[in-house]
Amino acid sequence: MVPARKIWRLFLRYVAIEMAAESEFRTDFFAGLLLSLSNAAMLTIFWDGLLRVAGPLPGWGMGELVLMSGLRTLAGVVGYVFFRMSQLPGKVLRGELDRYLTKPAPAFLCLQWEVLPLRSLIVESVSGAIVIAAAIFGWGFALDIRGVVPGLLLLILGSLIQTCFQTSVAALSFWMGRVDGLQAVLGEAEWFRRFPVTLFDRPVQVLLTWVWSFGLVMTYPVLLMRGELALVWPLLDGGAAMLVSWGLLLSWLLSAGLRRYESNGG
Amino acid sequence: MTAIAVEGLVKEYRVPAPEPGASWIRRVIHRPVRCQRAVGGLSFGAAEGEIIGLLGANGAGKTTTIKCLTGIITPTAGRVRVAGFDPHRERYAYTYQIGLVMGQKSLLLWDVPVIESLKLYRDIYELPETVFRQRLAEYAAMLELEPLLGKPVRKLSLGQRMRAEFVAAMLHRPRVLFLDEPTIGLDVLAKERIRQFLLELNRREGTTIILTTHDMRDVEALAGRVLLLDEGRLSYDGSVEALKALQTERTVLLTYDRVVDEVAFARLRAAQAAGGAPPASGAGSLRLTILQGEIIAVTQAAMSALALRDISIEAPSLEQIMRGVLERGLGHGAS
Repeated sequence: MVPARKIWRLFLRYVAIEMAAESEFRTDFFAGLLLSLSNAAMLTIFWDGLLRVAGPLPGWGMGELVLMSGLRTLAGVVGYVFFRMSQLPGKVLRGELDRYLTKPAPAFLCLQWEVLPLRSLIVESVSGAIVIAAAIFGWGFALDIRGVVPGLLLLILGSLIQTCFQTSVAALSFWMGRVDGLQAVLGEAEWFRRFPVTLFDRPVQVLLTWVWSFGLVMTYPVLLMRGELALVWPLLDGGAAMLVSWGLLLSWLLSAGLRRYESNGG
Repeated sequence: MTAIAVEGLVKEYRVPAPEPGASWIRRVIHRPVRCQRAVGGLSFGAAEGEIIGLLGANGAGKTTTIKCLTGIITPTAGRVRVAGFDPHRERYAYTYQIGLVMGQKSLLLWDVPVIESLKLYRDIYELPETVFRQRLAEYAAMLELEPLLGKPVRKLSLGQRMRAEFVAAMLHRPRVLFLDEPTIGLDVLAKERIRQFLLELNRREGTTIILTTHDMRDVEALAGRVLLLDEGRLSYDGSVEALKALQTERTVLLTYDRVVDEVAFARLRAAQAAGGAPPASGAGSLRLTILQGEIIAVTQAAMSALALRDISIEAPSLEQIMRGVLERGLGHGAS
C-alpha cells in the first residue's frame, strides 16, 4: 500500500515535470481558453435559441443551463486531476507498465500522471469559473450559498464515478487487448452530458445518474446550488455508495488484470 | 548469503491458435488460444554479489525470466524469492531492493530533461535530497553524465540515454540489478564504459547483477557464471571458464614458404580440417583442427615439415561454444 503522503508528493513531482515539458513545447494558453469558452458559448446559443422557440423548460431557465455548462467544464478538471485511464489499453498492449511495476510507486496513477494535461487543467478551471460567473451575474442564477459545498462535493463524487467507470472499461484490455471499439460505443453516451437529466424519462434518468453519473456531475449540483437542499443527503449518500462500489470493482479488475499482464515488447 | 532462489519457475503465455480452414466469420466470432510455454521449470540460485549472464537464443526465455524475477509478470507456477522477497506478493517493499535496465524500454520520461526523471525517482524511492545529490554526483562522474542532465531525453544518443538509464536504476542502490540487453545497439566505447561502471558497482557495493545479452564480450567481461537457456529450460549452469573448457578443439593456421619434408607434410595433411583448400607444395597455408593437447606435437611436426612464416592458434569464441552446446548438448561444445 503506497502511503497517501507519497502519492501527493509524486503528484506534485508530475506537476513539476509537466511544467518543464510545457517550457519545452511553447503552447498557447489563450487559444485553449478561447476554445473552451467557444464550446460553452455555442451551447449557450443553442439553449437560448431553443428556449425562444419552445418556451421555458420545466425547472430550467437560462441561468441554470449556463451554470450547468460551467459545471461541466469544472468536472473536466476533476477528471484531469484524478486518473482518466482511457489510454490504459494502449499502454497495456505496448507493455508500458513495466517502468512502474518495478518501482515502489502507484503504477496506474503514475502512468496517468505522466501525461498530466496541466495546461488544459488550468484552462478549463479558468473557463469554468468565467462561465459560472456569467450564469450568476449575466443570467441572474439565484445562487443559494448553502448548496455550493454539497453541489461541488456531488460534482467531485460524480466525476470520480465516471473515472472509475471509464477505467473499468479500459482495464478490460488486460483480457481483451484492444477495447477501443467498446470505449467508443460507451463514449457515445457523452452526448447526454449537455442536457439536464431531469428532462428525460425516469429509467433514462436513473441510467444517466447512477451508471454514467452525468446527473451527479452536472444536473443535481445545479439543483442543490439553487437551494433544493432536501436532495443533499440522498444524493451524497447514493453517490458515495456508488463510488465505493465502482472503486471496489475497479480495484479488483486492476489487480486481477495485473496478474494477466504480459509485458509485451522488449 | 542467497540473493536469488528460483525453484521450478514456469511461465506460459496465451497465444492465438488460428484454426486452419476456418471461415472468416468463424475467425471473427471464435478466437481459440493455446498456451505457449516460455519458461519451463527453471531452477537456480545466486549468491549476493554474483554477476550472472543469462544466455540463450532468441525466444529462449531470458527476458521472460527477468520479468518474472522483477515482478513485472506473474509466473504460472514455481517459487521465486529475490533479496528475501516474493516479487509478486510483496511488490511494494520488494521494489526498493531491485533495479532494472531494459535496453529496449526506457525508464526515462521522453520530453523532459534527464534531471527531471532522476528527481522523479528520488521521490519514488524517498531519498533525502543530500543523499540524492551525493549519489547523482558520484554516478554522473563515473558515467560522464553531468553535461547531459539538462538535455531532454529525446535529444540524447542511444549511448547517452543508456548511461542516464543506469543512473536512474542505481540511485536507490539496489541489492540486485537486472539488466536486459543493456548494451544492445551501443558502440564499442559506450559498451566498454558501461561494463567498467558495472564492474566498479559490483566491486564497491556488492550488487548482485543478472544480465541477459547477445554480446558475448559482455559476458566475458562481467559474468563469473552463466546460465544457458534453451526453449525455457536450463542447458548449462556454471562458470564461463568451465563452459569454455567444454570445447577442447583448436584451429591452427600454418603459413609457410615451402615444404621441407614431404613425409612429415603428408602426416600433417592427414590432420587437415575437412573441406579446407588442398595445400600447395610451394608457398601456402594449412588450417588444422586439432585437440588442445596436440598443439605442441603438431607445432613440432610443422616446424620439421615446413619452412614456416607464421603460426596462429585460435580458440573457439564463447558464441561458437554456446551454439555448439545448444545444438548438440553439453558433451560436444562447438564444431
